[in-house]
Amino acid sequence: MEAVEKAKEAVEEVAEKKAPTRAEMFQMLEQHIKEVREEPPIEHNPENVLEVHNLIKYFPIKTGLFSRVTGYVRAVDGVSFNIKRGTTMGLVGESGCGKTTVGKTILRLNDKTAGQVLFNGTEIHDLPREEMRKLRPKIQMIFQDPYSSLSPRLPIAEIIGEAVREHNVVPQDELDDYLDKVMKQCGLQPYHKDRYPHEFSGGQRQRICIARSIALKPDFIICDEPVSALDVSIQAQIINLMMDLQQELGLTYLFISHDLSVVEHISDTIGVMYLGNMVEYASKEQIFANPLHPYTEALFSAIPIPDPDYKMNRVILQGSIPSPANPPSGCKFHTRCSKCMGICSECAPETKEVEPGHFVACHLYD
Amino acid sequence: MSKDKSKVTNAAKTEEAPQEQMKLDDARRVKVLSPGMLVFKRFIRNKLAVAGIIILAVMFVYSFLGPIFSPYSRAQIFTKEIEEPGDYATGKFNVDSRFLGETSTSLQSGVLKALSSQKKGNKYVLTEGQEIPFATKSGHYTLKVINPDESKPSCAIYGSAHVATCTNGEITFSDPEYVDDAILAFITADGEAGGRETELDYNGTPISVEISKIERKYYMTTNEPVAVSSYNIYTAMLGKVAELQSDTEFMHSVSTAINSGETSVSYDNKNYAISGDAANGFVLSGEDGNPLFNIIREYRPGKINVTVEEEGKDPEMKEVDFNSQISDPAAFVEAVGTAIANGESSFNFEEHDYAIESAETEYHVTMEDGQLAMTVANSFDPVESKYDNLSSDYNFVINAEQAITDGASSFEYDGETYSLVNNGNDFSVMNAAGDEILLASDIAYGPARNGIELTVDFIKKLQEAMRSNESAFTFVNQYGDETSATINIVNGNYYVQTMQKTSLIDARSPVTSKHWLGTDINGMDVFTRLMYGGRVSLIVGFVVVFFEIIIGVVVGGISGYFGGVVDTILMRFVELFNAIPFYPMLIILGSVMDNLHTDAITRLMLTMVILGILGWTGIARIVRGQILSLREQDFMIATEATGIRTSRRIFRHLIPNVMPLLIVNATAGLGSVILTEATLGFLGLGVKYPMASWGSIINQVNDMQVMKTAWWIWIPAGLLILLTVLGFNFVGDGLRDAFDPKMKR
Repeated sequence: MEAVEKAKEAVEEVAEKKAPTRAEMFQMLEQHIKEVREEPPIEHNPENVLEVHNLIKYFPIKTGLFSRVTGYVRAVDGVSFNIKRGTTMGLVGESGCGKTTVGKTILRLNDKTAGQVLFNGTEIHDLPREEMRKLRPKIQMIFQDPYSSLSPRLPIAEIIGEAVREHNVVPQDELDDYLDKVMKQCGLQPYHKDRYPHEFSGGQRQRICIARSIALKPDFIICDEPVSALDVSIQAQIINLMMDLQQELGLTYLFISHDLSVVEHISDTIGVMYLGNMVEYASKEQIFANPLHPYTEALFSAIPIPDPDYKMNRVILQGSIPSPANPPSGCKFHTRCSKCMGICSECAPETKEVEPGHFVACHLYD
Repeated sequence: MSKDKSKVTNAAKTEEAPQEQMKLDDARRVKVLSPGMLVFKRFIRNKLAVAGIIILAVMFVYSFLGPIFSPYSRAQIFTKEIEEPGDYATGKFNVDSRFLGETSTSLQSGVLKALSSQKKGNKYVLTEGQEIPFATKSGHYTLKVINPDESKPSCAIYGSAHVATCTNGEITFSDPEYVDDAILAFITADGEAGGRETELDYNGTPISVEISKIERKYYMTTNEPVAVSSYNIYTAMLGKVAELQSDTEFMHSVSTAINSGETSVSYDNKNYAISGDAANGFVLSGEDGNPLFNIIREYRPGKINVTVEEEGKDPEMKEVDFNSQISDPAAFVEAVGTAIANGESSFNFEEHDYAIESAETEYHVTMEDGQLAMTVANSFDPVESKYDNLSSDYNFVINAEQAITDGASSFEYDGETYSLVNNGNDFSVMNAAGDEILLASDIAYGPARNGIELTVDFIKKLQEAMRSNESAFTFVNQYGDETSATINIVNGNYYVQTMQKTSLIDARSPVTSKHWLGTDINGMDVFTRLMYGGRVSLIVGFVVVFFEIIIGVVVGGISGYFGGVVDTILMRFVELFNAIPFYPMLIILGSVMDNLHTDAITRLMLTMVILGILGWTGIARIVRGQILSLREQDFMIATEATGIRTSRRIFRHLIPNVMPLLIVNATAGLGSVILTEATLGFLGLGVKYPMASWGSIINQVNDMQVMKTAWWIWIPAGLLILLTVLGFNFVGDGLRDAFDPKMKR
């Protein structure tokens, strides 16, 4: 009899744990945000341009007539990484996993919910507006869509030069020559200056975007899928251009993409994101040689190999990515994981350094 | 430095140019144009837009510069002079006598004059029973004070009989209709024979009025006989006498004889003798000396109208026996008898004069009456206007008329002697100095209207023509011009017509060299009117669109840029404005302004304000929508990422992207506002005279006659509206295309 009752209690407990109510979830999240906010500041390593620690970006879900916050879309749910000066970090993951949100939150185009973003040791999100504006040239962004990211009513010289003039990057009388130089660096001709964006092809537009960014002499550029809107031959040109510029100017990139082959080509380190979480983070060599997380494995198995005889050992993921508004409990990937264990659905895995510089968040390596 | 260098290199390049191979992407191949120039270039390549600009330029020059050069002013009314026969004067043979008599009005003014002569300051100084004599044109009256109130006296008016009462300064005629009706009867009487009696109807009671004619004058007595005295004939019982008694003709001649005091009468070749006297009666004897009849005088009282006044009641007219109105009827009968017996024609009894008239077999006793009216056969016209007072002086005219009737060569009036000269058909009245002052003739005439002064020459020529039955004559008019006149005879009236210059409003004149687009229904020059109309229409268009854009951009911009609660509130506000029914509002406003007689300028201002207030919502929505979508575009995020100032983001990035839409909407809006204004004008609710707008000019087509025959009034205004709206639309389209950099160069 006792055993039966105990078993019943256990079942009930499990049921309760598995299905917390919406309000309880909300309470838990609020608590979590509070905890992260109270974390002590991380120590700055001068080698790193950017240090991100436990970055959280929740978008509130508002309901009812008075727009009361009743829940959160957990777009970025605790992401940590560092980028060393002069290197490129690739950020990969399938669509909707929060890559772009990470980029925009780092740039403070979105306000973070919690966590820390240190740029050269400065917490960006704590800067007053005007100081932030002055810091902007140092962190730049290249957008995914080269068509909508250029103001259609300004000539190219104005698009590139406007912010240069605004921030006095070069003296006023040198501006013209400086723009010529930057444009040449980006593979544009000086006579393009008076043309309008609609007169350019996609690749040229992306060059303009790059020129706009590097004209401000930034330390760090966030590239938000800069080549996904371009055809493959142009992609290569742009990637090569970016790599050339990196060498020339000593730039640091955060390269957001879902195209693994491009990331492999450009990155020094790679982070893999799934549903707002960084599931694996390592150097390019380590991660390609030894993908530890089942999701990374599945992702890398999808890289096409240009050899018709090669038999691909695909790991096929079942289902689609869950909603970040109501993600699965425990490890968010457990619903689709081929190596799912009992613990996976109950407890979220900690990020562990499995080998030096190779971080993974998976219960397999507990 | 760098610029100098580039110039040098450029110069060097151009020198080398002929040898150098041109490349497709050579910098020199591209002509660098500023964005503004590019817009302009694209704009002028658009033929329709250029056509639109030309149309608008022409409209502006026409509307704003045209009035400076137009010889005519905005609301100048043109007239044309035409000569057409017009009535100059009328003449008439004075067949019916002309009335110069009393009316209740003239009596009233006489009373007031008499009363005011007793005024000191603002108060009347009167004593009870005081009698004030006064005269009007036709007679003498007495005002007897009944209540000598200082401010509101009441008086009775006596002529020969009680005519009216004046109470509290207001005159109440005891029988006003009596006076006026009697006069009316007098005028309408043809007066062929004297002694005509007319019955007047007064409140159902017949009142008899006697009209007598003496020569060419007619006198009217207004009193009924107060008493009648007659002889009754008593018969003796003798055979043949009964026959005689029933023979009225015999009886009549007997009565006449007695009345005339004769002692015998002959009838049917037989003589009868009358003996006795009035006091004791008469006896009629036959030829044989035997008395045949006793004739005894009989007295019966007449009926008279008496005003009975009771306190607190309106005076009332009653018909009573005369006897009841005198204190001693027997004494009155005796007095009448005595007077008749003595052959007197008047007597006095109890302070009243009575007249006795012999009327065949009867004597009628009447109270002495006054003359209420008179007619004369001749018309007396002054030779010069300074003699007007004489020709309208009743007594002077009576005297003159009397003299003419009597065939006298002179008469006296008011101490002066006037002489009469017989000209054959008319008479000239000369004064003592021998100047001709009046012309008296049986022809009456008068000018057809004020402003025509009939000269003596005209009068003489007219009389001549009328007498000799000529239908045309010439005369010298008041300005000394020789004028020819024609005579038309209608119903015995001679209408003299001369050719006269008449000024007519030159309305609906067709296209002439003087009026390039004719004149409208008010006689104003359409071509000039259209210029001023264009001013109003264009100004209304621009001002209203300016209002709309200012309000629309501010509201839409705030709404779109800030979003959230501000957006929600402002958009509900916009919906509120959209829910206002546009035309009913304008129509109500129009009629309210009509009622308040708002002047033209205020009206224009109010119309513009209302059009602006009701029309901005569309622009606000467009701007909001545009800004909402622009705000989320990557290039706006990029401006934030590159750290560009907020003001610069708004004015360099947002506004230029909203501008084209705004310009297109504004130009199209201009057209529609002009159309709305024209619609209001057409409905008669817009701009009012003396201002003009194209719509209000077309409004004249409401007149079917204008629509059918006077195309020049409404077609040009319609065309101008059409062209202007088209022009604005063309320019709007052209601007949109020009602003759109995606357009091919």
